[in-house]
Amino acid sequence: MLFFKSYLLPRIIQYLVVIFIGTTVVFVVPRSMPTDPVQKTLELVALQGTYIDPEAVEKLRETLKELYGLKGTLFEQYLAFWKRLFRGDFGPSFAQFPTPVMDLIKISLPWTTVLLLLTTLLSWIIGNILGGLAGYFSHQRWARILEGIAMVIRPVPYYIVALGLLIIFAFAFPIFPVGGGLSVGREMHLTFDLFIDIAKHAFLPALSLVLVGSSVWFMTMRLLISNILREDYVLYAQVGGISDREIVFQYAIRNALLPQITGLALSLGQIFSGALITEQVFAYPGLGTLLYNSVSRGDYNLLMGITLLSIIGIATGVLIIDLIYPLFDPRIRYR
Amino acid sequence: MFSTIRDLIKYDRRFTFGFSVILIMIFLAILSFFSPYDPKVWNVVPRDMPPSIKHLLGTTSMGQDVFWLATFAIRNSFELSIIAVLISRVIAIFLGLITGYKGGSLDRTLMTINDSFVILPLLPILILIASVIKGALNITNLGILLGIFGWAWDARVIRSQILSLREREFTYTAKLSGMKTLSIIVKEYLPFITPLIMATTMNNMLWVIGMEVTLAILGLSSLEIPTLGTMIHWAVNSQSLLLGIWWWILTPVFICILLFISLYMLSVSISEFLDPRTRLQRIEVMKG
Amino acid sequence: MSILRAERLKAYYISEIFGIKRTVRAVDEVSMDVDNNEIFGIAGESGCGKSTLIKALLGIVKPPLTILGGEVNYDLGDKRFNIFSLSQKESKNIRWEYISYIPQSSMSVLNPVRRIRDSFKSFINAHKKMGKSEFNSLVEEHLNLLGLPTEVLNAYPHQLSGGMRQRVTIALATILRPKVIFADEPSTALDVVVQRGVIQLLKDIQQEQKNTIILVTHDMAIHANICDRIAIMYAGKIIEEAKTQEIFKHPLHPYTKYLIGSLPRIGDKSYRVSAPGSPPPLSNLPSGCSFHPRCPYITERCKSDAPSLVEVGNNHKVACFLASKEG
Repeated sequence: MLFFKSYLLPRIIQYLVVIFIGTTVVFVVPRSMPTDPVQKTLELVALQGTYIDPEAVEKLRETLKELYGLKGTLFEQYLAFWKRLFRGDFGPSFAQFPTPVMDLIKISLPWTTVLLLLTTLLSWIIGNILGGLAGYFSHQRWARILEGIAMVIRPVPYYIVALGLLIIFAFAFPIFPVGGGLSVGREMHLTFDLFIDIAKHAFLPALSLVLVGSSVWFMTMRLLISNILREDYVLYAQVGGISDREIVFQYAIRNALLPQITGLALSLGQIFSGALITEQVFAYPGLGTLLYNSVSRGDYNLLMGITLLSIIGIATGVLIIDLIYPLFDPRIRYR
Repeated sequence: MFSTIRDLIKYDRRFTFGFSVILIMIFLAILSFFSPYDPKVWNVVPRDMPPSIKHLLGTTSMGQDVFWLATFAIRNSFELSIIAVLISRVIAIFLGLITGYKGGSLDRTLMTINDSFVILPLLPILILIASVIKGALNITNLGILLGIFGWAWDARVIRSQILSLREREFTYTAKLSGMKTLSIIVKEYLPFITPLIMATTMNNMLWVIGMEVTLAILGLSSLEIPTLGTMIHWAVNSQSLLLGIWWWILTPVFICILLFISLYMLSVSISEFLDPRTRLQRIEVMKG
Repeated sequence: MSILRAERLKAYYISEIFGIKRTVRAVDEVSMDVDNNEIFGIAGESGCGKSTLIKALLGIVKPPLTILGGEVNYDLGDKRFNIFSLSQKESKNIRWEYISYIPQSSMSVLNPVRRIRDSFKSFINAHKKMGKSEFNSLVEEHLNLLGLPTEVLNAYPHQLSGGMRQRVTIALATILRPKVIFADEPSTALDVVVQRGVIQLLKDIQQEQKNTIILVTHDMAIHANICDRIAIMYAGKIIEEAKTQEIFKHPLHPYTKYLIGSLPRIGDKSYRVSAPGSPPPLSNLPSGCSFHPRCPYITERCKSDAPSLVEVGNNHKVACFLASKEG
């Protein structure tokens, strides 16, 4: 258990540091911008033509300052920021005043979470297995073809893959719906039909994410495997006459999984970003679309809320993966 | 170095592909200096024209020639990535060298901060920043912004290379013969990591251009400046697909795909070339 | 009774990378004869081709290693074959039950993410199917015989010390009682005390199972300790072969003379001399006799002709014009 401390403690510290740095960046950025949001809002109000007497304007200014978290000195603001964070209070949305940002996020969050979890797991598993097989049988034709495909898909940005799929399968051959999460007007009753509907809408975004994700894991796995194949324990197993199948799975892939798990933790942020972008293309009702809307409507609080939540969510995900890692690596578990 | 490039071109098809595409792109970028149209001005040519002899890739809904617009887009994207890559290289090399060589608590502290930037989901943060300084995101500023955030992963990579170099014999020899730390780093290590930097640079460029595209599509960068991203943004916003003006959106998309694939191939082939183990593998493939 | 016979074995590494061709003549016309129930040693410096010889004898030939000629014939009682004529499947079946291998880097030959017990299971099941209880009794008995604690089975490789891992690997290689065991530098990376244990272990196994061990090492002391016969290898060729006592008492080849002469002896305080210069690179061998640039007894013939291994009586073979009194 003592050794666990040497493994666990640095990671918990890392977790806290990430959240600290992320939150501070989110705090600092808007406050260093040249424009004053309070002033801007006041001007917008004034533009609407109604007359408000100076006292009311002052009150409005105060309220707005509080709303924007701009009250007090910078340090006081910082503390207040953290306090609100702990309460989970991101303030009200500007575009949909006075709905709290948290409520809006709560609606979109499950859509994104499910999509993200499913596709990440799927692409990690598929990519690793295919990559492992292709790495072991690298001289065979099918392996080289697979590698060629992965090599072409991997660098293409999520947006373009999503766009491509949208064009092909929703416009050119309209098999799947063009966007959204549910058919218009459908209600949320727990029926089988509902699941089918959701699945149909989620299929293209999921496909897009799995395609890109799998090729990423495929490429790294393949490289890892080709290095592991030079390791003494693999060569020895081959000398010993152990079947290829057993070597691929029990020797090669099992060992290659270790750095891949670490890699998953490190790329979680990028995968998340990719998911957000893909959602936008398909107008899938998750955080991605919410983010897009907040940008186009200048809903500043919502934007901040989503950003903060993303930071915390990703950091937590990384921590969880770090906690799972010892289950796979006996070298960490024992001594 | 030229012999390396020559060898790579001869023996690695991926490198050949990537290299030639990049050369073509550079050529197109240079061509932009000779463009008869000013990319910032609208309605200089008839709108929505399909590709023809006069307008090689057609025209946009805003009355611009797609081909010449694209040359500017490529050039600006290159400029952007060069700025961003330069900044992030400097930071990454600096960090990687120091943490790799010094080690100890300095290493741990810096690496914890570094890893935070690896873990942080950069997209929401960049979107936040971009939406705050909306108007001012021209090429230079965007480049600086992306450069400030893009060093984390590569710093790690450089650091691990330095770590392994540090344990090698020639370091001890250099130290014992009285070479100063800075000297060791510059004279002995730099030649080792230069190729590594080349490989990570390609990756970084990929990321930078990709980010630019994403930010532009969201409408967060300076939209009058033609880049690959802004072209797509305008094309999407003007419903080019629905209106059947496919040449407008397909041009930047196609260029993007080509650019990304070739950059990726370059980075993969360079890093495979560098890795002594994969070189061995290729010897075997040739024999067997 | 000859259990293994190699005839004019030629195994080179041939590679071509970026247009540069490179040929490493690791095993250059090697012929040797190994009997049943003996420990046969192959001695030589690093880079003389010993490890490649083992690989070739085992039939583990992967590019860029290529067999350019020769045969390696095994006579294992009920099985007789040339190892190069076997299919992949057949040669896989042969291993472990008949021919086994203790590799050079036993530190890292065990799968790091599986327990020792599972590694044993893998190797055994690849050749002989057996039930759980049969497996357990076989493994535990074998470990007991070799003086290894059975708790080892539940451990992961990284939990064991280097010496322990080496012994576990030896146990693994000998569990199915193979007739021929190849041991490549089995004790080189270990400290002297553990070395002794390992070498003793090998000796005990051979005595008990009455099989053949082919031991490759540069350490002459080990050869002196347990080998019955020794072959000296230099630049891809066997240059001398005789009974252990013979080699140490009457070395014939100039290289062997240097080799034996450089060994310290208790009580003898005279100055030790080793061969001048260094072994030639296997990719660029000198003409004629490969030792001629370093040989003090060089004649003209040595520069142009390569001497072949001939018997000079008393089962003592040597490849040297001077020693074999030819020409």
